[in-house]
Amino acid sequence: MGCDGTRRELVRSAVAGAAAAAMLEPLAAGAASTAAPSDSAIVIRTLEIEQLVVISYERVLDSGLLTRAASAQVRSILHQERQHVAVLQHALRGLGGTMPHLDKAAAQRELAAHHVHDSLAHLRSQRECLKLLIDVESLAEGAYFWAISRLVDPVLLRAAVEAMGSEAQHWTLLSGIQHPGKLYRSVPYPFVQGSP
Amino acid sequence: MTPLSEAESHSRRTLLAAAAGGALAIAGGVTACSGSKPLRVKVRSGVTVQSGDISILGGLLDLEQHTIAAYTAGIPLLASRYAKASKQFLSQELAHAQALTDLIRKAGGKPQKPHSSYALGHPTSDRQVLALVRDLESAQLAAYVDSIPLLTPGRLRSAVAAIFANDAQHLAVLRQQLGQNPIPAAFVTGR
Repeated sequence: MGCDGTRRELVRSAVAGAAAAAMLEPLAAGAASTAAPSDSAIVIRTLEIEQLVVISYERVLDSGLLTRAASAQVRSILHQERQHVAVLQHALRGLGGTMPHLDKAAAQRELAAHHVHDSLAHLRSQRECLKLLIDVESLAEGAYFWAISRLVDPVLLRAAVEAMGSEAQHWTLLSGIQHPGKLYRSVPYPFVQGSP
Repeated sequence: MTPLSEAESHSRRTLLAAAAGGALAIAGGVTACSGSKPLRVKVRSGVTVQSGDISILGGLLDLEQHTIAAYTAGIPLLASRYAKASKQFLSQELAHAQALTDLIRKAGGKPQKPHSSYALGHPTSDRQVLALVRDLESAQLAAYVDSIPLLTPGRLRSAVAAIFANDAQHLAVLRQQLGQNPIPAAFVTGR
């Protein structure tokens, strides 16, 4: 069978999926060496990432660099991210955990710690804005992917699964704006695990 | 969905069998073309699967197989601007099914084969085909949300969640193609 255009798309998708799945093995090794965190610690970690996401979205919208259409979609996603934060904060109160607080300076340091080198302060184009948001959505996916394997409380676990689905949808929507007409860029992998 | 008459079932089965064979041939060729370690080996690596997970994973596999059948039968009916996405999603659903199959085998279970036919109704337009696969993707999402907390704690849950998240992406694109809000809710439940 020869390789036509459709076949190239499928190959690209399969190869990308294989690369994504390969990341599962190092994660397994790292996880085995640490003590199991409490649900409270897991929620704190996830909430810190969600706060980073919200700060990033706010910074992008404040930049004024987005087209009207892109801005509308980004605003709707920010609304959902704030709902994620609200649910996590409510859960943390119930667990008696210490509420984290992330300011903009800490957010930039947090990005660097996750090897995301986009600047919150010096965004220059819509392209840079969307790249930042796609990168933080990857972090959010990764946070939930990590949390799902560790959470004990079934209600928290369910919420984490549902939120992970939402982050994946956000990633796809943003990638679709960044790369219009290139579906292989907006839904590239059969397995979504985000970035650590 | 409307059950098919016997004659319709036979012709539909013929279409599904031919199309599914074509879909699998493409998927098999994709593995050969990629030249990488089999995807399924990487997905199941490091994941603990117990016998109690078998029936849950089997239920999810059943839904994936149903969705695969719908994409396979529906793609020939789609205009090219919609078919491209569905073809990509079909390849990913096949990867999901294979991953679930591997997990079931890892637990010592025997994965079920796809049904010989599925009740897919009589879609004739782009919109009807897209609505069909959208509804099946939604049903999958609902099942994943209910099932993941029932699985053995640990990496199995996140491995299955990785499939769920990809299906959530499919749903967003399909809704967009149907002119609907791609992300109507902050928490994806499939309902």
